[in-house]
Order: sequence, then C-alpha cells, then structure tokens
Amino acid sequence: MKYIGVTNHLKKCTKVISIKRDHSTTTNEKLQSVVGLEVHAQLNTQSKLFSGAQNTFGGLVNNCVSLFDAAIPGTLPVLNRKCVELGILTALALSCKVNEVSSFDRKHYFYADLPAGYQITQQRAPLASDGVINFQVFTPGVHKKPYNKSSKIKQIQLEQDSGKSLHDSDLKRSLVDLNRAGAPLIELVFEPDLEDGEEAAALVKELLLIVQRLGACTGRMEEGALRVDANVSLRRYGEPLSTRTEIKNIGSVRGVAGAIRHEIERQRSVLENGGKIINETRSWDAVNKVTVAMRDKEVVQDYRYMPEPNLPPLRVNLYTREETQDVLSVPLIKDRIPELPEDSRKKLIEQFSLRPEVAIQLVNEPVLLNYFHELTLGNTRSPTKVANLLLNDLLTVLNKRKFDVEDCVITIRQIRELTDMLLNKHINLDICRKVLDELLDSANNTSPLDIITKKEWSIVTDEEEITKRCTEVIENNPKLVKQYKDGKVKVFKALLGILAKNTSNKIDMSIAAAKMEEILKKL
Amino acid sequence: MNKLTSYTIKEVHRAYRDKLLTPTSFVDLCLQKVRQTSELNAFVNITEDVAENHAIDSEKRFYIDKKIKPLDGITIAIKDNFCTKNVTTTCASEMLRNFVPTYDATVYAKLINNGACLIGKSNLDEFAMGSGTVDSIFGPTRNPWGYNGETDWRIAGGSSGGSAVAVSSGACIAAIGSDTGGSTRNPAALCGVVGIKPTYGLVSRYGLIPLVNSMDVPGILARNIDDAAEILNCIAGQDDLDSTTIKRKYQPIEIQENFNLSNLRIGIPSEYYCEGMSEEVIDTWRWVADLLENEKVLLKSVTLPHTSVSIAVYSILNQCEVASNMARYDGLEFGLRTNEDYSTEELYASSRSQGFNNVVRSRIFAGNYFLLTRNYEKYFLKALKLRRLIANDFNNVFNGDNRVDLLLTPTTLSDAPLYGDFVSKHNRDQCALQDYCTQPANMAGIPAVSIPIRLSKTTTTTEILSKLNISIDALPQKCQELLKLVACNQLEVDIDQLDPVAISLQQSLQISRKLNEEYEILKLKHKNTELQTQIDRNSKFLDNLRKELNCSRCSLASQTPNPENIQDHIKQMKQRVLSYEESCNKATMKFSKLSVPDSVLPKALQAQLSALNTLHEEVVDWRQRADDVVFTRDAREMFNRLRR
Repeated sequence: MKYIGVTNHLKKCTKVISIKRDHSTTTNEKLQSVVGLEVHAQLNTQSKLFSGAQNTFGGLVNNCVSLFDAAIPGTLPVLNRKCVELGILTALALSCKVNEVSSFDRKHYFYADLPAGYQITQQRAPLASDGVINFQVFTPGVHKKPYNKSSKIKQIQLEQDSGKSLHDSDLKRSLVDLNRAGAPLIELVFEPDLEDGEEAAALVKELLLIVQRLGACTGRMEEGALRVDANVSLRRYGEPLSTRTEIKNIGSVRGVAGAIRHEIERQRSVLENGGKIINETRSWDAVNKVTVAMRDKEVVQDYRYMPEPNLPPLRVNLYTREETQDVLSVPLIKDRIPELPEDSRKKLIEQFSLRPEVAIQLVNEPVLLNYFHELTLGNTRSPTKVANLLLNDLLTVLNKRKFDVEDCVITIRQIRELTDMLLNKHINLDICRKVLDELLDSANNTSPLDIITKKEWSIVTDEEEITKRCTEVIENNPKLVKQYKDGKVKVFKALLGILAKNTSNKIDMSIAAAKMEEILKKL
Repeated sequence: MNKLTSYTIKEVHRAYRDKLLTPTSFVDLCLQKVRQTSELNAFVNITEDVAENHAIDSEKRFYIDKKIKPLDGITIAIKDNFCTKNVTTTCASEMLRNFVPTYDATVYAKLINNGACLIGKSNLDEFAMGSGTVDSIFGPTRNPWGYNGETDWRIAGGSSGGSAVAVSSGACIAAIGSDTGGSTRNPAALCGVVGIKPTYGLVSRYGLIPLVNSMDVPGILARNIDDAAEILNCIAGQDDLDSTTIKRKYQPIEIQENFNLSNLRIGIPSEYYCEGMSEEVIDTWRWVADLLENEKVLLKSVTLPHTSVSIAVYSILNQCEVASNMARYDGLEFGLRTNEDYSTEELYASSRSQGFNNVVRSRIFAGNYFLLTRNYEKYFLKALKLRRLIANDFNNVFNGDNRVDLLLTPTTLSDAPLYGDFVSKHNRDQCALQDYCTQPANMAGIPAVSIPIRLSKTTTTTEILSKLNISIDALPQKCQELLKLVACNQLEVDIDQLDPVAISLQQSLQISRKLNEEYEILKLKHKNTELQTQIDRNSKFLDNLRKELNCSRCSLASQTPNPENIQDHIKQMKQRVLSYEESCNKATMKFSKLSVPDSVLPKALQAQLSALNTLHEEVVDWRQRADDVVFTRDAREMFNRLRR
C-alpha cells in the first residue's frame, strides 16, 4: 500500500513539473492583461462621516478634529445623513441596486494616522451593489476612434478616511495630521472588466465627471479627493484570473494610464523571463514612471473584521417618497439626479451634429462645455466651428501656459465677442490665439476688441486700403507680374504671400485676393 | 448623623424644605462620611470642590430661585469609567491614570443638569473587567458588611464595587455604575443595595468608556427602589450622541403605593438553579417565591434552555469587543506613552504592555485570536448565533400565550466571598461564577434589577452590626422596607418565618423526581424495543440457517453416495482395493520369475563402452605414430638426396 502511495506521489510531482514546463514555454504566447479598479471618492459634505468636525481640504493642521476623530475614549459615531444621501445618489447614477439594509464593520490595523486602531467601513453589507459604468475610450494620439466600454460595479460602500502621517527622516520623527481622519469616503469596487491603462483612465475620467455633476465629490485628484487603486494581472486567453498586484493611491487620470501600462509591461517581462508574479502592493512613482513595491505592506494583514456595535443597521426606504429622521427615501434621491455626461454627449452629437470624439472632448472639460452651450445659444454660430475654436485654439493656448482648464479666467462675454470677430472674419485665427493669450493675463472686464485695437491687430477690410496695398505689391514685383501675365498662374499665390508679409497678416485675405486678381486682369 | 446619610431622596428634600438640612451641609456630611470610610477604598478621586460648587448651585435654586430640580442637593458617585469634564477619568488603569476628559458623559451631564452633586469617582476593576473590584491600580475596594479592619474581609463585588460601597456606606445617596455582564447588580447584591440594569439603549452610553459596546449599559445603585427610579427618570431617554439609544419617548416610571399583584405572572427559570449555588441563596429564592405566591402572584416554572452556554458565549463576545475597543490605546493621542522611540510599533508595544494589566492584556489576545479571519466563523459568528438563541429564550418567556411578566432569579450564587478566597481564582473563573445569573440579561438587552432580600447568616452577627452602627432593632425594619418594595409596600413580613419554603422545595423535588422517573421509563422502553428488534433479527437468522440445513440434507439424499449408504460404499471400495492388491502381488511374483540376459544389464553395457573408448584413444595414438614415421622417412630421404 505504502509503495503505491509513493508512486502516486511521484506521479503528482511529475505532473507539477510538466505543468511548470508548459507554463514557461507558453509565456511567449499572447497574454491578456486584466485590470480592475477600486476607487475612493471623498464625499463633498460640510462635516465628517461620523462626527461634526469640518470636512475640508487644507485646513490648519489638526484643527478640524472632533473628539471622536481622535478616538477619545467614550465617544461614539453618529452617521452623517448627508453622506448617505450622496452615497445613494452616486449609486443610483451608476445604476446600482441600493440595499434596503446595510451595516458597518470595523477593519482593524495599527497605524499612527488611524487613532481608533480600526476603520469603520461596510464590508459585509454595503450601501449598494451590482452597478455598471458605461464610457467611451478615446485618447487623442492613442486611439483613432472612440469605442464603448463598460465595467460592472461590485459594490459601493461608505467608509472613513484615515489621517495623514508625515515622516521626517532627518529628525526620525513622524507627525500626524488628523484633519482628514474620519472624512467620508465612498469606495467603489469595480469588477476586473478592463484590459489596459487607457480604458482604466477613461473609466476614472467618466467617474470624475459623474461625481462632479452629482456634487458628490469635488473630483480634485490632486487634493486626494478621488484616489484609485488598480489590480493588474496577466493571463492567457480563456484562463481564470491569475495572481495580481495592486497599485495603491494613484493620484491623477494620466497616472492611472501610466501606472497600469507600466505594471502590465513589468509583469509581462517578469513572466517572459520565467519569473513569477507575487501578490503584492505597489505604488506609482509619477516622476520616474515606474511602480515600486511598498515595503510596509509586505506582511499580509488580517484585518479582524467585526460588526461595528455602536451603529444600528442603516435602513432606507426603497419604494415610497416618505422620509423620516432615520430613514431616507431612495425615490426622492433619484429625482435629484442631474443630466449625466453620457446624455450630454448624445445631445451634442444629435442636436449639434458634432463628431463623437469632439463630443467626448467637450464633455471631458466642463468649463469648455459651458462656453460651448453659451456660444451656441440662439443658433447664431456654427457649433462645429465653436467647438474647434474651444478644443483647438483655447486649449492650445491654455496648455502652452500649463493652465488648468478649471482656472481659465476668460468670461463668457469675452469669448463671445472674440468668437464673433473670428467668425465674421474681423480677425484671423492667428490673431485670435494671440488675443486669447492676452485675455488670460488681463482683467476680466477687458474687451477683446480693446486688445486688438491697442495692439493694432485688427484686420484691414477697407477696399481702398487693400487696393493701395495690392498696387504697391504689383509695382514692386514686375517680374512676378510678367510671369503671371505669361500664363504662370501659380505665382498669384506668391504675390499674395508678399502682400500678407507686407501687411503683417492684418489684411482680410479673401478680399485682398479678389482685389489683386481684379487689378492684375486690368493690367 | 448616620441616619441622615441613609435618608431617601424624598426625605432629604423634605429636610431641605424644613431647613433641617441645606444642600451644602448635607454635602459636607457626605464628604465627612467618605473620609470616615476611606479604608473601604470606594473612591478613586474625591471631588470636594465640584461637590461644593454643585451644592451651592442647588442651594440657590432651593432658597432663592425656588425652582427646584428633581435631584437638587442629592449626592452621587460616578464610576470612574464615565468621562467627566476636567476631572480625571482613569478606568483604574495605568493607561488612563492622567487622562482628563474635555467632555461630560451624557449620564453625568443629565444628573448635574438635574441638580445632583458629584462627591467623587468610584473604584472599579481595570476597564471594568472583573467581578470583584480587586483588579484596580488603586487597590481593591472592601465590602462594608462584615468589615472589621482585620486582614481578611469580604469583596465588594464588581466591577462597580466602588459605587456600591459608596451607596452602602452612606457616602452618597445614589451612584452610577456600568453593567456589561452584571457589574452593577453583582456589587449591589453583595453590598446590600438596589442595583438596576436598564434596558440596552434606554440610557445613553456616550462618555462611558466601553467594555462591550453591544452589552454595556449605565447602571444605577441606590438604597431603595424609589431613589433608583428617580435617578433612572433623570438619566433615561434618547441621545443624539448615541445612535443605539431607543428612539421612543421615555415614559418616566412611577412607583405606585398600592397595586394589585394578583395580575402578575412571575416565572422561575429552572436553569438558574445551578451547580455552585449556595444553600442560603436557594433558600432565599424560595422564600421570596412563597412570599409572592401568598400575594396571589401567579408563579410558574419556565425554561431558558440556552442558559448554560451563555457564559461561554458572553466570554467570547466580550473578548472580541475588548480587543477591538482597546486598539485605540496606542499612547499617541492620549493616555500612557512610554519613552520608547525606536519605532512606532515599539512605542505601541511598550505603552500597551505597561498600560494594561494581565486581565486586560489576556482578553485582548484572546479577542484578537477569535477575530482572525480563519477563526471568525468558528467562534465569533457562532457566539453571535447563540446570543440570538439566548435572546429568543427570553422572548419566548415574555411573549406568547404562556408568557410571564417577570423572572425571579438570584443575582449571585453566594454571599460576598472573602478576598483571600476570591483572588486565589483566575479572573476568568471569578467572572464565570459571579456572572452566571446576571449576564444573560445583557446578552438579551433586557432590564434587570437586583434587590436586597436579607442578610447573609455568616455576616449578621450583632458584633458586626454594632460596628456598622446599625442597631439590631433597626434590622428587621430595614429589611422590611426593602421587602416592601418587592411586594410593593404591601407586606408586613417576619423574616424569620421561613417554613413555607420547604413546601415549594418539596414540590420541585417531586417534579424533578417524577421527571427523572419518566425519563428512566422512557429509556427502558427504548432499550426494550431495541432488544426486541435484535431478538427478531436473530430468530430470523436462525430460521434461515435451519432452512439451508434442510435443503442441503435433501440434496445430499438425492446423491450417491449419500450419508446412508456410505458405509456399504466404503466396504465395496475396501473389497475392491483388496482385490487390486492381490492381483498386484501376483503380477510381481510373475515378474520376478522371468530371467534377464547379462548382456542386457546396464553393467555389461558400461564395461563395453569404456573398452570402446580406450580403443578409440589407441587408434588416435597409432595414427599419430604412423604420421611421425612417414615424416622421419621423408626427412631421411631428403637428407640423403641432398648429400648426394
């Protein structure tokens, strides 16, 4: 009997070995990357999730801290109704099923910026589950055409944020700021439905737009208001998911794309060299563009989850529009959902006949979208031309200055005036860009016309002046005129070029061309 | 003097109105009492200044504003695990020795708003983990009953022992304790005062440093039911700061002078009659039951089947929540912080090991073990399920057709143990024994009250009573008063009259005997049927065997040879064998007579063969010799020819 046992064992071993060999030989076959996201969004509320302390970014250090936030013994959590409202609003906008009863759990770990030694979260019964986010993937320069993608949402849960630790390595000291401790977060857990960084970035961008529209979150990633964790793994097509790594706390949309792209490449090269992916937590170094293993997360934590005994289960009314102090009405919250980015894009395409990629870009920049709507009001201006002006010229000027679109100071009145001048050909595109650049520096009541007059950029449309200038050019270039007269029509353009140069581009070229031809024919 | 500090709230207020006393003078009396009884170690911190300020405020309201609050000039003690603004709140732990809260617990705030005067913060087991008030960094609290300054004395019970002793010794009119597994009722019973554990959520826990959040309730200790009810009316009600408080508006309790007991149904849970319960306690239990029965109360035996597992379940849940609640004591924001600066982890470790005693640390360890992901379902989840069953037990008893209104049980299994005996046991065993009858109420969240019934025989010596300044004449009166409350001020009771108890004992004995017998009969019946089936099975088997035997017999009979003619057969065979042997002998004889020629015999043949061989060898020899001869002749001829 024993002998047989041993041979069986041997057989097993050989099997294992052969599988391993298979594995290493097939790494050259096509590997599919799988990406799933977990997003933490800070809720945009006056006070924190369980305390009355102010929920704000950039307050004086340790100044927005209640007794509860510092885990003073004897204090108890009191759930902030507004947080639940915003959580449900977000859940509904993402077509989640809001759970009639959800509950809170304690997640334990020791860290200096976690005063209670546990975080209150919703592990077992989340606020909402089973949602979906639909979005278009289109990165100019990467994709030629936009394509549709969707990712399922496993759950949305309410939880507390932690404080912030500052490590002073010179003094060997750590300092803790509890202003953020207890700030309300929703964690959105997405299924691993994505394939690369660009899709993930597009998802995050869409989510940002949605939460901003809802007013649920400021979406300021640079302030940490929305943080992304990405789970990345590689597998052969059709096989189950394999070991994944988690990239923690990515702080920008482009960072999401970069971090995931890098991580996929890293894993691919590890596998191709016969290595093995280990389950680890990594962070994104945005400066060196690499993901790095996080040292303090090496040990697998057992969070020792336990139901939070100080908070009764959270109940909501799913069916009627009746509300009480403790029970929110979900239908009432549903009534408050504004137009979502997806609808905006559809509208732009259907009502204004914009191309899909133009619509995506416009919706991605709420400030530009607002300009667009203002400028196309009353149907006097061509939507396509307006969109091009905003997306090509204004954006170029802003990018050159490294200005955020949000910080664009140009008023509606100014841009309206400028657009009209451009569309009516009082100025050309070149001047238009210059004016935009000037407007960024000037006071917001400066008129574009004033700038043009002051800088003498206005276009000459006066026929007499144009005739005079044309005649000058003709007189000074007898050779070219002779060639033209001999039938070399091509030189007409050269003459126009000279004219433009002489007048520093300030002349209406369409009128000038007509005049020039007229004069030449008369000769 | 002593009489004054044993007045009820109503009596004190009457004295204030009659100006026999003023709040300030009464507070002074109480403080004096505290100093006189300092040996008992009931207080961790005496708040003289606070008490005097409160007394002055009360006096103003009493005599100047004429707007009297329900607790004006009433002295109270608060267990030192309730936060009090600007007054240290230590939990009797090194960890919080210097912790000064910046806020008031809701219970304390409500008491002060109702005019109460805080005399001091009372002693407890560290973080309320215990049932004796022996594990405190300030030393144990001593039970005033039977205390004569000698080395061994009785424990106060716990963990709210300090509060119970403060009330019992007359240092204050009422005190606040906390009750997680019996921490208010246990010392109340051991110190002879009333202890109330309100319904979970009736009184706010805000500011109570938690032991087990899902079971903690602030408790009330007072010398009589009226005072206890008055205090409860002042502190109960919904609190926005505690989400687990009951939302329904609180209806103040009024204790009527007369009410009909005959509508009352009282249950006696059979499971509470347990191993280790002293004869005296059982005796008293029966005595009260009879007392009530005489008042036409409908008494019936009820069952709470999960009582026996309750203490184990309680222990698991307790340790899990303790592990979680204690995680915040890391020395960073508040509390003890050692000078360890190697790393944050080292700082945590050294602060926590210095800040907590062994009991706290071991509960943290056990709790963290139970909460590990791999153990969660095995222990914590199971404990939660059992807790539900325990709560359901109570639900079943209090609802349905066969319901009762109240349960009558003892609070403790015995009278107050001696300190020496008590501390020789492990904390876990202390609690398992002391909390047996009390913790199920915490698991179910239901209210409970412990009422002193009579003095333990071991402690009611005249000597002790005189030491406590209680005259023997006053004793029956006092007990009578307490009993009046039990029977709602209706009874004139002689506490020495104990005989009717025997009847109920006999009854229950008979019932249990009968049950036992029935059970035995059932067991026998069961055995009987089992045996019967075995017998049936065996006889069937035997039948089968028999049938088989018959069958084989028949088949044998039809064969030849068969057992009947086998002998003949053998005889025939033997004869045949004999005849064969005969013919065989004949044949040998015949054979031996025949002559064989020698040449055919093997020996002759062998000799011929060897002769043949030697001839062969000779032939070879001769042939070789012939060759040699030919060769020499040739050689000679050649030689001759050459010579020529």
